Amino acid sequence: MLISFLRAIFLYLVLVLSIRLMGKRQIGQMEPAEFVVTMLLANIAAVPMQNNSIPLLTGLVPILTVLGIELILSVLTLRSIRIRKLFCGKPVLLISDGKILEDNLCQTRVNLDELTEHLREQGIFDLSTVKYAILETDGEISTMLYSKFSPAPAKDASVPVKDLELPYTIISYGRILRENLALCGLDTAWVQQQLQQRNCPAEDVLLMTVDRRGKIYFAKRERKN
Amino acid sequence: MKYLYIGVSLLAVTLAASILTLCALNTRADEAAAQLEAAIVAFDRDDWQTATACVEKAESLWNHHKGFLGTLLDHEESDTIQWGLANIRSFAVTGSGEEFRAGCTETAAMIRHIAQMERPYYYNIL
Repeated sequence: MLISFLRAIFLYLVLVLSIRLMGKRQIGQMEPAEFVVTMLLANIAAVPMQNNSIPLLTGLVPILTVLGIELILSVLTLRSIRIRKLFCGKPVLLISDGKILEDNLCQTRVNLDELTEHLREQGIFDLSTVKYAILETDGEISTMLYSKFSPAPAKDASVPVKDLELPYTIISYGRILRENLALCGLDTAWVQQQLQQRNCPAEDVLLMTVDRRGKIYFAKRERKN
Repeated sequence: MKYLYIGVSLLAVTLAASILTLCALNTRADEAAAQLEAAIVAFDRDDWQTATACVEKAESLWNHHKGFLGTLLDHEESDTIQWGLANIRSFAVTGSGEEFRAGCTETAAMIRHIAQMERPYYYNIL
């Protein structure tokens, strides 16, 4: 039992470090190669984790090998368009100038139901509004609407709008984040002043953010006694 | 570029470690199997003393590298060999000649087979 416990901890740490080394691309939608690697790693680790008679090295060596190949391939796909096409594929047009490309649908094995489902997920219920639909390499479908159906940006509508500023978290779960305070050009005296105005100690604040224009978001903790 | 270096280094280290452990495993297996084969030759000459000494040498070699071998081999396989060696020694003590010879032959073949299974031959890869 203790052996299984220690092996599980070791393999877990190796797997997490491996996924971390592969980068954040793993967390979102995955390319085919990334999907294969993630599946492989999980399965490779599971065998020596469950069976104590198998040496840990037989699990560790494939993990490190797959990780090494993945790291090399990720750099090569970044640098070479050919290798990128080979391992990641290329985007395919499914609708071009409002016309559904049946051949491309067949080629990518996407049926009409799936296409319309993806469009509905993006809030598009009328196919005639779509000028282009592209099947991306990660399996997502991107769309571009005809201009007359696209929401007008503020510039086109001649509406004066101010640019949004990035809000910084100043207090999180009652803790003052001094690093973010410095980024906003503020100090703890300013925070204390804000807290006094709201009659709330820092420990009772769930979240407080502030942007460069000084706009504050404040949420108090609701503690259950 | 940093990731390329990390990837290449990982592959190089893994490959080097695999080759080195394979060489080390072959050497250990050859040493132990050679002692058992020498025990068979000695037994055929009716030299029980040398035969027993060879088996003891083989067992001590195997036990000496038990930790290292345990990290490379299936634990069941390495346990089977260890028990096989202990059995041969007990046959030597009781003077069971035919069983001693059969035990030596079987265990030597098993040790050579285990080392052979780790070699990068096409039939092992496929």
